[in-house]
Amino acid sequence: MTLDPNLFENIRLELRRGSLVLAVLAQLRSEQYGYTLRKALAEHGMEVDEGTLYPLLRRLESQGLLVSEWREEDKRNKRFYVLSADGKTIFKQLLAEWKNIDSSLNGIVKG
Amino acid sequence: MELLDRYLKAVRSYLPAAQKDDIVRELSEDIHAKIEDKQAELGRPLTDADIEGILKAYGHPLLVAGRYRQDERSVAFGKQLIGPLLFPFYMRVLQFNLGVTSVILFFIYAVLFISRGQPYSLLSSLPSVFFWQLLIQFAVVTAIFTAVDKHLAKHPDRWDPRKPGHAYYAHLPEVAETGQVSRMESISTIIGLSIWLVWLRVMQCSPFFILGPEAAYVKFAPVWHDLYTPVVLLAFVCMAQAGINFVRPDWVRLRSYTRLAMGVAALVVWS
Repeated sequence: MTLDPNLFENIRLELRRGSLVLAVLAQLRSEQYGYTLRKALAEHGMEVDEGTLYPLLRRLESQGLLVSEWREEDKRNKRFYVLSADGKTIFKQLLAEWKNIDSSLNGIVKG
Repeated sequence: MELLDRYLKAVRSYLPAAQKDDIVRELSEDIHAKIEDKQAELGRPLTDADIEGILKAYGHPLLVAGRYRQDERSVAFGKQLIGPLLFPFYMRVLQFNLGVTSVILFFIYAVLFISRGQPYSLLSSLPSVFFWQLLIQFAVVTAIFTAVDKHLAKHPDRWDPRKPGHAYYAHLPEVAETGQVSRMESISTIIGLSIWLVWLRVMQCSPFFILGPEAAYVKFAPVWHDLYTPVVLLAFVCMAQAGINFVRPDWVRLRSYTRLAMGVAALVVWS
């Protein structure tokens, strides 16, 4: 059986997709708008394109994890996002879960 | 910023109605921020070519809009044929085609019923005629969308924000014609006209395959026989132009002249 040439890329994307939600929630503990959020994530090695980030922000907002508001800054209207009260709770739970997974995985990999 | 406006209009046309304004406002803000960053980096105002580069990197309007639809459904027979990004548009086209086909068939049957009576024989043929028509529509629309999906997956950057004749911008005002004829447009023209010619030929020679037993009661008026050859010839000219432009997309004037000639020819034929 020949290996799908896109297999690694597909699995990598799956892996990143889950992590990206956590990264966005973590970054939005302080208020930011989309463009600066993307730059901040990129500076931490979490490159994400606009086509992924903005729909994700909308989804997280519709799920009640984020709140947003349009506000003028530097003579431009920008949409600022920040964690909601529920978002903060869920983020803490997800972070704890992430740490558990990380520790389990380390144990498994080390054998 | 004409290019940016056109791009945002194209994205907007594919977005869910309730969120159009809000999403476009945010996209516009993001692209403006990118443009400002790029200007600061280059130390000069951006040219149209620079803005084209930013828009191409941003992504095809259809794909950008598709990501906001949050519809994870797809079409798969064993392997995936039409992915979640195109699925909502596929469903819209399919529903439209099936709706139009149903209305046409209903109209034909209504006319036959009024002119012939015999409701039992008409009704008995109705399910098979409907089934075959809907199956053909389903197969053709699915095949076209599968090809588009494959093309977009393989060449996500093969599109031109300036191209006036591009199918995705057909409803927008034109920018100066400096681009190329899209290969996607050429392929679509050839496929669409081929399907139509086959349908026309079958309708003329073996209408049974389209209308079922009721075909025996449908007769074309003499004018349709007179028009058949010129109409087919015009279709072949269009297909030839699309074929040439597929090989030589830079021959933009060929398409313009062909369209002009076709318009004049159609006027002559119909008059």
